Amino acid sequence: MSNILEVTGLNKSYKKFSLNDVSFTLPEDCITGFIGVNGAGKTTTIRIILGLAHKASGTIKVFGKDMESNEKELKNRIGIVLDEGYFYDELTMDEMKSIIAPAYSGWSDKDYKEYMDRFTLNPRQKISTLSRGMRTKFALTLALSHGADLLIMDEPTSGLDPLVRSQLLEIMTDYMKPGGKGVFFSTHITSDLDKVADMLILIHNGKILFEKEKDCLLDNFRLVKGDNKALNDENRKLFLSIQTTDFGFTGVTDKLSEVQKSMADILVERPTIENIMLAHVEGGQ
Amino acid sequence: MLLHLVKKDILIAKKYVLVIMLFIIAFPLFVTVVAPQIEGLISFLYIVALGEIVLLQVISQEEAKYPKAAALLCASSYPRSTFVKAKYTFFLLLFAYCYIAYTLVMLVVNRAGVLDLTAILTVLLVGIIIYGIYIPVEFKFGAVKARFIFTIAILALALGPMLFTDLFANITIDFSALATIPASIKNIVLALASIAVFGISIMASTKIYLNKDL
Amino acid sequence: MKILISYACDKPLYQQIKEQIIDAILKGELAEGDPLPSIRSFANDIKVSVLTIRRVYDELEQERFTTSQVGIGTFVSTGNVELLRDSKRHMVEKKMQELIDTAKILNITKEELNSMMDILYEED
Repeated sequence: MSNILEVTGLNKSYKKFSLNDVSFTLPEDCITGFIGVNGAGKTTTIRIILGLAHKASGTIKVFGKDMESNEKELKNRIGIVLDEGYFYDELTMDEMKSIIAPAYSGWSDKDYKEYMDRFTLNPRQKISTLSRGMRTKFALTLALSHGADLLIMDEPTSGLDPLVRSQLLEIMTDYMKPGGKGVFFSTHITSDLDKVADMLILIHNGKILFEKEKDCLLDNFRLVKGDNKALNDENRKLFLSIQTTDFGFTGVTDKLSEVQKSMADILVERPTIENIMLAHVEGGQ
Repeated sequence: MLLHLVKKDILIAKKYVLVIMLFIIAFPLFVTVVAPQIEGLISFLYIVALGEIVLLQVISQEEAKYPKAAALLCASSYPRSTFVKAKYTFFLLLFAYCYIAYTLVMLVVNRAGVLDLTAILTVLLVGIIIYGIYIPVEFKFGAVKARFIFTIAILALALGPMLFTDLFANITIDFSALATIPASIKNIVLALASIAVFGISIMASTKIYLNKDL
Repeated sequence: MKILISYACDKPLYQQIKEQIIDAILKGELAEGDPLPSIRSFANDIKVSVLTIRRVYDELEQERFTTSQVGIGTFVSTGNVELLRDSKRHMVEKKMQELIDTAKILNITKEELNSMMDILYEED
């Protein structure tokens, strides 16, 4: 199984923020969720991968080839959906398409029309009159109409109602069906990832905190609830993070058996991705 | 690819482009009829200068309204160098249109107004020099700051002779020598100069834009 | 073939899936030579990650329950004596696991369990 995207040692400094040694790999046939709180570095990383921002150091390989030396060829195979404001609003969708389509050698007008129909978008409508959901659908149409093998999306689902979100996720899974594709999307809406993600990469303060299979994470970590009195200096270390209230504690741990030995009368549950993400983010502090 | 980006510039400023295109035809016509004593060269220079500068400003303004759109295009497989070249191509295309429009109008209204090659090349060189300085400045500092810098520069240049009249009074350049140079040599020199300025400007703009974070 | 995953259960997802497939094979619901669903459609249908199904298929193949042919698919292995033996072991192991789970809930220690085992084994 080859890797669709390999990022190694990315570094980039801004005045108040920097990316530190960001490295991760996207295997083929996987939907990878790039998660983190706002300002963690998701958009910066994606902009660097797409060549919009310049890195201080590091390498980016797509389909096994170096991005810098094969930029045009590789970008041809990448479909992009970015956060707001990426169109010329005064144009109609067809006009915008007429500018973007020639950039891609694999452009298919047939696919374009099919997606526009599927999303019930009127190509002669002005972009400024579209709702947020329709803009995202249009961006997705453009991204999916040129035979791309890798979809890179920055917060595609934020600002969308649950129905549109679930349509989008369905499209992502449909996209993966033929095989040999990859999807990389950043989000802070972790419930979407619960449904479709295969791999999860967490970034925080410009550093990668983990890069794991989603099911493994959900298998290995547990949400433990118990009496505050059961906590002592020793068993606190078994938890990634603990929150206490007057009525008890809730903690996230991957050492369940040791916790079970150390305290009785606990409630054990499967965590959500949100629990795991927050535990890693808070646990570090 | 290149032409599609030029098309993009025209699309986003559709209405303005149309108005200017009409103006370029109307103005020489108007001048010839109303004030025939004004040399054709002046009116040609005027439409080129106005057309290029105004359209450039308008397009940059529209572009600046939607900065992420350019980012999206650069993230697609349009190379950044093509973006740069498109701006210069637009200049050349507009110049060609001005020349054709002017010449056609003159052929109809006032045969004497048709300009010779030397005059055309002179206007071209002047245009390229102005444009060739403005574009890299705009790529580097953005449309708003570039316009600001240029306005200040033009005002300063305009004031220069007034403020330093003494200095300028003592300078007497003998232009009569120029008249004896054969036209073909003048043309070649003008053409080469235009190409040189053009080339340097493109290289500068490309370097600037390639290194910019979008 | 019926595959039901419980998110309330402590057992890792891939293990639940693997065991249920093995069950189906041993009970004959999946006959020798039968094809298993493709990784992607299987993952989609039961709503787990393709990576998890891939792991299940890899382990099933390692344990000789299935064989895979590149480009064609994964199939239940045919005629494997070791398989049967292992399968019987597997059934006993499964019962033992249930035993241990119950014992843990009732707070019966390993030592008590072992002594209970000794007693009951001899009774036959």
